[in-house]
Amino acid sequence: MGEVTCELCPRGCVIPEGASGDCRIRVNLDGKLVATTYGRPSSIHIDPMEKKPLYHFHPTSPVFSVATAGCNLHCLNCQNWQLSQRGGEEMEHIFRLEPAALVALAQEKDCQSIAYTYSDPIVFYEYVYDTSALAHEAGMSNVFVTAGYINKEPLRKLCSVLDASNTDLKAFDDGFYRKINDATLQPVLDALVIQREEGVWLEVTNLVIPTLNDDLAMIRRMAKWIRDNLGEDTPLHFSRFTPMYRMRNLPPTPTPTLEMARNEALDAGLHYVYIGNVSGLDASNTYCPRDGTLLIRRTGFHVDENNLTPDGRCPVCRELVPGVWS
Amino acid sequence: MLTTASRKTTIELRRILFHDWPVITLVALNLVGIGLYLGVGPATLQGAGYRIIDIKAVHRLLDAGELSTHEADWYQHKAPSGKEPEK
Repeated sequence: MGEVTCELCPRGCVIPEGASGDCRIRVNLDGKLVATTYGRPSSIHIDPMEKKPLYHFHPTSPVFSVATAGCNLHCLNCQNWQLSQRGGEEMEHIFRLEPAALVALAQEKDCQSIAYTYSDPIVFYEYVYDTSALAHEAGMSNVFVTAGYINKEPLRKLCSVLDASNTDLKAFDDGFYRKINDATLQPVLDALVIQREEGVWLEVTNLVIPTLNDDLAMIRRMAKWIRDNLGEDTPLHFSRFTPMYRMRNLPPTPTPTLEMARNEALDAGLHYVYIGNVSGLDASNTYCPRDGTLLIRRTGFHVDENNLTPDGRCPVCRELVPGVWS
Repeated sequence: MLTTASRKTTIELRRILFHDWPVITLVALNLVGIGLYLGVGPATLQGAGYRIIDIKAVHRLLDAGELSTHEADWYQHKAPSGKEPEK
């Protein structure tokens, strides 16, 4: 009875009876911490894999995407704030979908992957874990789209049932995390390394916000850190910011800013650097890092052309392109 | 040797320190407080975070089956006395 300490994420909330953690959905009921949105998603969609974004993981395949209310970050620019900045009791729509039913529904809709996304799936950890275990038994893949603000031990356990992750690295600056996301940088860096160590296919997204995290020197440091700690073949997505939620005072990211960021990352030695949320750029395509051959041409979330060999190699020089292609 | 001007400045500073020290202390404390808030920030105040929620609404939805009573992983009971938590 009494207070409980949640050890899921670095916040370490100490929660009195009748209150929730900072995430709003882990509630202390009579001394028991309850995951109130377990089996109760509020958002369900079928998306292309490219929307996560994952460019090196089962291209073009549909992914059954779910989220519940709640989040352990409070980003001023959140694009899903109606979902993430609410508790389960505040949602207009709640579906009853226990893990087995979710897996069955995804299969019925011809999806071979399930994505835990939109809000941060860290906060509905137990639902993700149990569903992912069942999905694996059914021969399906699990995709985790996250900001990576989680403690090490829970993450390592979760990695055993995950196949791919797109993790936000919101800025290579602790001050940015504190001011904009109400979080800190180091746990996110740790989460990236752990996912790599545990063999989860990993892609990284950096949302470039004008004046806040578009400093090219910082972007270069971030790219070098990724190269040195995650590997030069780790795909990095620079994504365009659009004014949202409590950050409507800044303009959308200019395309040249994204292109300069991409050039910095390429110069730092990363092989696969993409620009997202902008259509019609060459930077949406995958090129062979060895000979420059166009491997995959994309428009938005659509793949127009895939020249990779069935075993994921450049058709010209036979360079192996890391990813999960089959 | 102090010049007349610098002597005047010294006297003025002494006067300020003697007469206005409560104000100076208050300003300094405020600056320290602001500095600590910006430097440490609420995000690093581990163990402090929780939210007061509409618990009646939560119970109503739990009773209706709209929310779940599934027990979470990764938590510990905190001893009321502040002793080491039990598992």
